[in-house]
Amino acid sequence: MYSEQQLEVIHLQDSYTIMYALLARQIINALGEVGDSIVREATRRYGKDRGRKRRQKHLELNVKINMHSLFAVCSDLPSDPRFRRDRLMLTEEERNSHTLICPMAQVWEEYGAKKIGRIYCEEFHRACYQEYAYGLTQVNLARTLTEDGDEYCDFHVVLRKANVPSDLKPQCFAECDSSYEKPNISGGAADGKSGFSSLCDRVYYYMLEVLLERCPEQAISIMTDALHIWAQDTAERLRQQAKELNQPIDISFADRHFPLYMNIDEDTLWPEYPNYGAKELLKQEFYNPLFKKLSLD
Amino acid sequence: MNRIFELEAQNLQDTWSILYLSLAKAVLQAHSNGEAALRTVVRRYGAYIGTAERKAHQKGGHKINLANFYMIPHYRFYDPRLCAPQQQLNEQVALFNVIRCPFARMMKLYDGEAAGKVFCEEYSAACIGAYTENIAQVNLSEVLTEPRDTHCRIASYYRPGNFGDGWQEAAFDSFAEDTNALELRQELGQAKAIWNQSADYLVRAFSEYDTAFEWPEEVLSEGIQQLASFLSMRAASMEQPMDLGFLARNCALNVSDTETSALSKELRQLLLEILKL
Repeated sequence: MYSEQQLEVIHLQDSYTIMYALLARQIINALGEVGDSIVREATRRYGKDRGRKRRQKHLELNVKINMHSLFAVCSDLPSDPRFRRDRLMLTEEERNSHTLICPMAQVWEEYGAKKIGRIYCEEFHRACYQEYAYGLTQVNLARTLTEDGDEYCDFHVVLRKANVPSDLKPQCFAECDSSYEKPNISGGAADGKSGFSSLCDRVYYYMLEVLLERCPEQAISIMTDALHIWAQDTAERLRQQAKELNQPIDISFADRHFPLYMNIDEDTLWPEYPNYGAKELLKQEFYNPLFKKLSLD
Repeated sequence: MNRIFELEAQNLQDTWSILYLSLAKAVLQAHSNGEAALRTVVRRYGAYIGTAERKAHQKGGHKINLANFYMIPHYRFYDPRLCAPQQQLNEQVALFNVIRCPFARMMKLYDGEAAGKVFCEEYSAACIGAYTENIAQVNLSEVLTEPRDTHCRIASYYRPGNFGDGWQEAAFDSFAEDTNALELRQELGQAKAIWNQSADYLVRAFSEYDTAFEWPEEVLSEGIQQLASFLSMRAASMEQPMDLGFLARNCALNVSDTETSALSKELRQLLLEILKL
């Protein structure tokens, strides 16, 4: 049995997973091969953005840029209680772990989107982890739960000291920086709301960006359709969740169980992503229909 | 029971492994950049092989894709002892579990697992990267040169969606993953030429990394001594005389090739001296 707080994290995680599948599916359905290529490129840009931001945050905190920091210091998300991982090794140079249960893979399967999940697994992790360590990380994900026949995800993510140029070594490894004093990092678990909201914003933003670059004439119409489908799915899911929890469906409930801020202007991320009228399009084609379907003001 | 041809192919693989380890140990022990140098050398070697495979496929009219990479090898010989059940292989996806690897076995036998692991971590990505012009993604999550692992897992993905325009003509028959049955096109008779070429690329990669590097004689001699002992032991096991003919058929380092680098020449001379040939 999960606590209410855990259920909120679970719902936030699932909404993000579903959003990726629905947007990607609509792009691929509309554009076929070009759509596949757009989704892959957008996923890489999103991964790089996330890796770069994590690196920036670690540098600001005076944390060394290495595999231990990447996987153990200041995660941008709270832990989903459904994940089951066998952590085999975590050092500055490598992280080996097996993911035995992945709720993302389960949700994609449920939505008939295992192939789209594969795109995510192939493109996101590589782009994110490589970017984090200045393109020097060797990312190996040789088994994934989104691959037919695989029974777990097998992560072997490596940053070999020998492959890091001497000018970057002090930034990556404490033993290469004689004056280094390890920071005392305090703070509890990452905030689910802002974490997952930021993920959804960026996935959407980069999909729109690549769509506009590759298919400028169809981009807005395809994204509008995708946002409508996502709004419909979100409305149904929120209704179902409220019913299961025996709670009224209102703005407060939606804010706790769905990643995007119900008042879009409370989302502090948008000034960093000001292009393509992305925020306005989201407001118009996702928020408005969602509010209407749920009779929210 | 192994046929003589199979044993020779195995000896070629094993001598190549000892040659790699001899050179790798020399670099690890004596080069100022040590491990970094070795990793660069292995990537360079991988790129030589991948580029050569790419050119051979283009010349032969074969599309550049993972199915052809694995099934029509011109510069990589599959040792008969290699046991690598295939989970999936098509133009876009190659998933293998390596249960038995003669290279890893030799690294263990000759106390070279660290140098062997460097090879595993760098080679496949560099080779398939060069073959696909860095479009394919190569993943190795477990390797037999790591004591805690029980097998190697190699998963490669080469997607038309990451290819850009012209994917169909150059690489794939269809955008969707096809599942045609594929047959390996390689014969035992090709082993000698392939291993000689591989050894040549290997020595070239080592000698080109740092032309000013002074190879430590003692370490190099020790490595070539191991190579000579291995060859003598194999000749005895196969009840054959240890002569130039045996060497030519069983040693990856081509002893009759005179058009090679200074390092290659030095290795050859050392080997012939030790074997008194």
